[in-house]
Amino acid sequence: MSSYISFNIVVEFIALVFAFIFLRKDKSFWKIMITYLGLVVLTEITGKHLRYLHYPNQWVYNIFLLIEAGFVGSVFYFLLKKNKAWIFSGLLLFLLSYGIELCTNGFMRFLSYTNIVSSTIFIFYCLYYYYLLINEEDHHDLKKHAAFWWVTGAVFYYFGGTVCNIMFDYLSSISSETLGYPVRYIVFCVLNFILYSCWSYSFLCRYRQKT
Amino acid sequence: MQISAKDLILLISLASLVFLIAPLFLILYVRSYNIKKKKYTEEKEHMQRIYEQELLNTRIEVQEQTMQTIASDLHDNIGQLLSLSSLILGSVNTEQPEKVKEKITAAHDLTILSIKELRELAKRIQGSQLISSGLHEAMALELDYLKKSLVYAIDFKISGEVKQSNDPDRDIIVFRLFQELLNNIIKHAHATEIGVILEYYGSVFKLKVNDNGSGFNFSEGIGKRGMGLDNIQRRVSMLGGEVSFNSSSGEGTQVTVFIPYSSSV
Repeated sequence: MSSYISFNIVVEFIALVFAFIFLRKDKSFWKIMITYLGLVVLTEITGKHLRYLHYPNQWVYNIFLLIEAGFVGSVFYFLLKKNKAWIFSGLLLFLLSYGIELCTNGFMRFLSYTNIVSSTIFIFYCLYYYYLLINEEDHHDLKKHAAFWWVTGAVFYYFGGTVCNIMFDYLSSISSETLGYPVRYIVFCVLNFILYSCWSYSFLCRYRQKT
Repeated sequence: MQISAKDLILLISLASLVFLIAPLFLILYVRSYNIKKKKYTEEKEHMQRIYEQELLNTRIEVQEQTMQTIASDLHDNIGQLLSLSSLILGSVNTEQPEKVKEKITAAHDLTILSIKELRELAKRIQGSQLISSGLHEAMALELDYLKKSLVYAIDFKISGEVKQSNDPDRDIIVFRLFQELLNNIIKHAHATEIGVILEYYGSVFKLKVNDNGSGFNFSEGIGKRGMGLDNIQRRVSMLGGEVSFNSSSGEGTQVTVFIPYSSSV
């Protein structure tokens, strides 16, 4: 059982608990965070389980790419209300990349280029959100601004993971024993910690905003 | 040159670190921009509060001046006329019928004069409320009243196309400025002639008030209590305008005020 518990799963699970506590009564798009984080934890456990059984698990993460794109796209759809064209264009680009890479590499290999494409699109959404925030006439109390913290978590995660995503194939080809330490795992532990800490805090902000 | 796997990993780790620092600075920038926006909004709100307070003070001052004028007019003018007519009526002696008609006629004339004065006074009360419908009309009424005192020769000119303001709040401040300039002439200038020119140039209007009085030294006048020059300057700058004082001892004073004018077509 302990082999199923990793740092990432713990962090994701804590974020899920935060989402459940603070957003279960929310009636806006924020409520989908609970479902998404539930799916994140489920994906991680499934991936771990398959790995434990020595089965390929990359197809699980390929499915998750679709869920992630749908979820992040939906959240930005609400955050960038006036600019829906960007959201649909981004999702179209993602689907195009997904389709091409799926046909080229098959379903059992991780779609790393699509992952890079989706990360780039999400970084663009985050930067666009900041651009709109800066250009808004009114100021916000950023310390208590739920959307700001959510986007901040996302920008750290997707921007910080760029190098590892680009070097994914190389990092997968060499074993961690050769390196002495698993670089990609450590980087993503840090990024996950930042992402889910920011998101958990944003859930709290959202809860305070509503009450 | 071949790069070893360990070097490459080090490179990846460093690059990842840089890619983490970059959004950090971005977020710091967004935060500092937001703080600037907050300060700007607070400053704007503060200025708005000052403006509203000043507007309220101006309204009170205009009302006070109107009330003072009414009080002095009632006491010095209408009151005197009615007292005189009461005295005349009280002195009517029915045993001297030849003088009764004469006295009643005199009392009647005085009563008619009192009624006329009362009408003038009513116009003046209305005048302070007329500002919103026409600044130049309110100014003309103010000058008419001054003309009646027979102390000053008044010359009032309007040039350019008279525009209706769409901001009555600004007009009341301008009107109060005008009242303060006239008050200064009455209280300090010992003048006999007052000239007022109101000129409309596109989106700006110019108000020029000059007198042939004793004049003053501007640097001394600015701190002098009662002249209200700093008050005038503050109010003009609050309206985004400019004021200039041209005066020297014994040569009269000329005050020119430029104010941006928001007009409705």
